[in-house]
Amino acid sequence: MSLVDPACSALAASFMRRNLRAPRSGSAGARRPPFRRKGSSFDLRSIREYQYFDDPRAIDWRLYGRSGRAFVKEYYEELGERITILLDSSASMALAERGACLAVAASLGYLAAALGIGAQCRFFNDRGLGPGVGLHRSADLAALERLLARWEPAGGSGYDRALAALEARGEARRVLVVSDFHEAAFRYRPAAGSLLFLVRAALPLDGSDGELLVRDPETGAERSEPWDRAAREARRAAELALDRRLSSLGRGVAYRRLDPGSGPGARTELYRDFLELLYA
Amino acid sequence: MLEFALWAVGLLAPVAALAFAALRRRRRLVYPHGLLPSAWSARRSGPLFRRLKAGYDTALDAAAALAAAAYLALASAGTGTPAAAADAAASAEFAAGKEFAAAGEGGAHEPAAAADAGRVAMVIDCSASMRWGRPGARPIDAAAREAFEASRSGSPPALYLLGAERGSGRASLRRADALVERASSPEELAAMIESAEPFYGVDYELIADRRLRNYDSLVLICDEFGPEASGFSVMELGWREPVALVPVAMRPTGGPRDRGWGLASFIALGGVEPESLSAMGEDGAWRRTPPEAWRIEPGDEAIRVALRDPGRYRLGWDGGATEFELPGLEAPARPRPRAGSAAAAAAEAAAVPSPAERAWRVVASVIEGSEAGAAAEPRAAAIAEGGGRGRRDALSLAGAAVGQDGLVIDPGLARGALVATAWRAEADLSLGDAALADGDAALAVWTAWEERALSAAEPPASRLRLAAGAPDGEFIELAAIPLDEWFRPAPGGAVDRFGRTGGDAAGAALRLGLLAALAAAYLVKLAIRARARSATRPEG
Repeated sequence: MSLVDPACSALAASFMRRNLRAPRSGSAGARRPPFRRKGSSFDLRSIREYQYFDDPRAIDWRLYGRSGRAFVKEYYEELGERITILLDSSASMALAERGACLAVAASLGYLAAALGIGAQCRFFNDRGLGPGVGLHRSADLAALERLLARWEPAGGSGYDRALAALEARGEARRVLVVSDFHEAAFRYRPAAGSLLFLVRAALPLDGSDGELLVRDPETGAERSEPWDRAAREARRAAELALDRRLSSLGRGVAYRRLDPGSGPGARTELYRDFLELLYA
Repeated sequence: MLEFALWAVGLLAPVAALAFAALRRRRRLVYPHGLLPSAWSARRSGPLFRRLKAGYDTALDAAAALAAAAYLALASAGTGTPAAAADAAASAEFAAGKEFAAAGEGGAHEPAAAADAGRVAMVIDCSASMRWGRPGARPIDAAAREAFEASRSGSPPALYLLGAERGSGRASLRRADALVERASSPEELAAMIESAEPFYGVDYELIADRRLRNYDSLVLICDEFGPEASGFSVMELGWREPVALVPVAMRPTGGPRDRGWGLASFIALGGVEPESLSAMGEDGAWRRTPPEAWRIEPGDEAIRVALRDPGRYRLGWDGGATEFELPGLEAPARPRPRAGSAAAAAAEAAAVPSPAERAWRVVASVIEGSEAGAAAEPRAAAIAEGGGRGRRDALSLAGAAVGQDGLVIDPGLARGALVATAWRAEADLSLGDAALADGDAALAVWTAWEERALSAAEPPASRLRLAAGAPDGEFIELAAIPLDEWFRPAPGGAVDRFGRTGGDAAGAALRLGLLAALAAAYLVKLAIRARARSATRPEG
């Protein structure tokens, strides 16, 4: 059974004809094209005759039909157009809705591949970035789903460290982070022109009044908490405060909350918001 | 105390049930602490406040239950429940009251508030001034007559004695129905009262005692009542000029002075002089004391009667007699020597492994060779090893081992000498190998034994040494008659039967305090609830 939400194909079709946001005007590649390396972007670098070491799949068969000679098109390398999907695999994420979190990662991967953007999906926790899968074509979706099937939350949170590591690799231009964001501070700020899309998987906490003996899944510490109407109100206020804090991180940061129990419809809206930002 | 415990158990039971239910309802779950409400977590006192928030309701309920239990216990005690459960002092007095009842009709007159309702209480003043006057014409004789006649009437009153505790002189109020029922004549009743009460001084504030509140009316019989009586009536029998020989000091026999003769000192009131002396025999009968066993010593300030033997005496004077008891010091108890010569015991001592046994043998040899040991009465004595300081007829010794218990300094540090460093408190004497090797060890043991024998006769609390460091024989027996007993009471002040006294004011203050504690508990609950609500306000 596919993890991708069913509405994604229609969503991909609606964005198919739109152009991605232009590359950063201040980038080194944009300023000095001769120094840009070949790659798989849509920016044409040159057209030259086929050589024995070229991939036959790169032959432009239209030109061959018109001229009778085999030509290949060379493109510049991608300049961060590929999106990175970071899925928090810290222990606290075990409390989140597993299906919803995986569906977000898989659906966005599918959308990126279908739209030809390219994507990479990675896990992360306090030990840094985990294994990842790159998606360039729809056929890579099977590898993504195999990766997501291995998602077992463990360890502590560390989105600041993961984002910093991503930036060091030059992969932090378009990032979507799925996490519970329970750490007190969020220090990472994206570079100018980058997009950081935060998806907070809200963790459910409810039940009858009484005393709670709460164990932290990451530190193992236990503490006793009263749980009554006042405590519920306090928690609701704390959730709102966290929402406000994450949505006011500054330019280039977008934030959406994924409530427990929200169905594919709410997730589709989330994908649409993300694509709108991507194509804006 | 019992009532408080009952109320507390009753009121704490639902609180405990709620606490138990809350404990049963406590849920365990896994959740990141970072997403819990953090209003109090950021502070250093966060865990305390969380604990308080989780359990403040139960804690405050328990505190309120205890305060309410104390209030209810106080309130019910003040409205006529049996006073026996009220406090320790009342319990002691009640116990004394039971003694009278047991001597009479097997406890038929235990104080029972319900039975006392509607009756009349008669309280006899048992102060020293009630005994002033010629025998038969003293106020106490008249009071006994009134009580005796009233007890033979159709509705006998409850009889109480307002007096003091013998020895301590603490004011007391004791029920004495058994005495009046046992007596066959007013004179016998007077004698019984005189033997039951020491006739020191009285505290009229005890008229407001809870035990007397249930009676319809109360009559105080006294010689003359100075304060104004409120809530009760006073039967004044008339003040008598003191005519008596009042014992003021006793020196027991067996002391170091005057060949062991004792000395009883008296103050003569009303110009009386001693005329005869009788001693109580073993059969309880008074017999005239032979002249060689007593003498009157000259003195200006007091009448001093020297006595050879301890015992109970009656000093007769014109129209009356004064009874007194002369104590005697016991002769020091000495250990009985064992058979064998001193030299042989000393030689044997080295071969005996037990330090206590060695000490015993050395002591035995000293006793046998000494004059004191030959003269001492053979008394059973033993020397116990180990603890047991102050045990009767046994001198306890503690052995000491080098380097093990710290009682002997390490010979390596003392250049080979064995030096005692400490004294084990649980034993009378601490002896180690070094001490027993010393030829003077027996002297130490003997001295300790003598000290024990002398200190065995501890003076009671009512005795007072004449001076610090004075020998045991130099003390006086306190007569404990207050100064105002010697004078006609002056009018002034007031005594209220129904509790408008200092004691009840303290009770009212206590009740007020408990009510304040209840209110404070509720206010604290409100404050914590308000604090919890304020903590739920959204941040920023």
